[in-house]
Amino acid sequence: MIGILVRKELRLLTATSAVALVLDVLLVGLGLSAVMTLGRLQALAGVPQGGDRFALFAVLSFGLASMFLSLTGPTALLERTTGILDNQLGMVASPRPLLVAKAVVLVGLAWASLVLWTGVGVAWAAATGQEFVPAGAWGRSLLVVAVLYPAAVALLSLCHVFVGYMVPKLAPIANIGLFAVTFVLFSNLVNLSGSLSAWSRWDLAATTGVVLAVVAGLVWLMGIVSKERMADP
Amino acid sequence: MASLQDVSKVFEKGSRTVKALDGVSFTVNRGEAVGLLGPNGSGKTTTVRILLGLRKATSGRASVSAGKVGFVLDLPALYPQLTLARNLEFYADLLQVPRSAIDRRLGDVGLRGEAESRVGELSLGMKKRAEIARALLTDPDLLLLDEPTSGLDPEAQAALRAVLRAEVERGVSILMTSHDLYNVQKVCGRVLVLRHGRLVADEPAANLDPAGLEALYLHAMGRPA
Repeated sequence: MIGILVRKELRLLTATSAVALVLDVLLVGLGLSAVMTLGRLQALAGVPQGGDRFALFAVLSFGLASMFLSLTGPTALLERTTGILDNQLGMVASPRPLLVAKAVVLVGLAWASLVLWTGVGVAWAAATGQEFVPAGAWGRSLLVVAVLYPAAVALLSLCHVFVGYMVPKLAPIANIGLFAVTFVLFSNLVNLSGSLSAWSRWDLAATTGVVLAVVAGLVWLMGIVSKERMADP
Repeated sequence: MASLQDVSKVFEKGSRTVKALDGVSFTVNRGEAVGLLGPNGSGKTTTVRILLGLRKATSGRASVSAGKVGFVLDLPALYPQLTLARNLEFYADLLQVPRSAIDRRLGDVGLRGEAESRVGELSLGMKKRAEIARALLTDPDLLLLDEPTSGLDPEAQAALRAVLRAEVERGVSILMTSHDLYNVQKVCGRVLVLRHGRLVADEPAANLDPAGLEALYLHAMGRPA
């Protein structure tokens, strides 16, 4: 069922927000180009190159991922205001698939964008002789791309969708909370860029574990909330 | 097929409480078409929503024993940006119905030629018929219809009545809310009247001519016929 709902979301997204989607993806590419150009300028100026460009790019992408969260906004508003949501709730056993499908679309788009531009970054670095992923940090970078980033974006997306549908009046306040969560996760990633110590690896593993646990908790919660509450928040 | 046993529903609206249904009991039997009449705020929509699980009864018991339930709420289910065919494909997939049902049901409601039109571009009458086609995709045993004829011109109402009568002849049970006494009498074999959340009349439609139905309704509303 999730697959059917995801296809519907993508179909509506292309019908309503195709331009916004393309711009969001291009903006992440712009972020990559800024990171790579900064390294090039450092080299030209004779400044010793340091830091971890991949981590910087990942943090930047994470910040820009919040743009993707707004992409299903028009569809969500339409469903709530017209009653399409009520009709669909009448067809499903629990609201979970309706909510999870929206989050899956948002995570998929943000993640695909990160993977695309990380690939471009690696190719760019290989072609120009610059360093994108530091030597010895490939495993960490792979973990960030494959697990931490999608898990963290999933957390934000699920919260965003859940609050937007269940307590829309609280959404502005909740968004501030979401921003705080984002900031903490940002900081964590920034710390990783400065150190590849054993402590940072444990920190990364613990953060990933907490995020995955909260994601699982939210998905569980979406299965038990009342349809009446969702149809009439 | 569908039954309510002493169902009450109370809504909290700020500091006050509103009793939308007050001890309502009735059963829609297999192959029976039942019209649920009543003024605005009498509890018709709440009744349908409770049967669909979109509202929880405060007390009493609501149950649906039909295998497949189709429904049309007083709110649209179709996305205006997508074509009628894409909309129905989505719902067919969601309800695990073969897509071949789409063409058949669009034919039943006279909309086969509009399959590739965007729903937002259809007339109100076409949208209502499209909603009926959506509700019929699963070949339901029970149809719950909330105000299916509201806002339709006479021609569209006649087309909709023909579709519903065909379903009744096929053995489908129908519970249909309406303000429209004429349409209810033409489709339904039994008439219920709600007033202030209470069931105040339950009569076979065969006993009533149009004037009799109006008299029943007005009497139930506490007004002289």
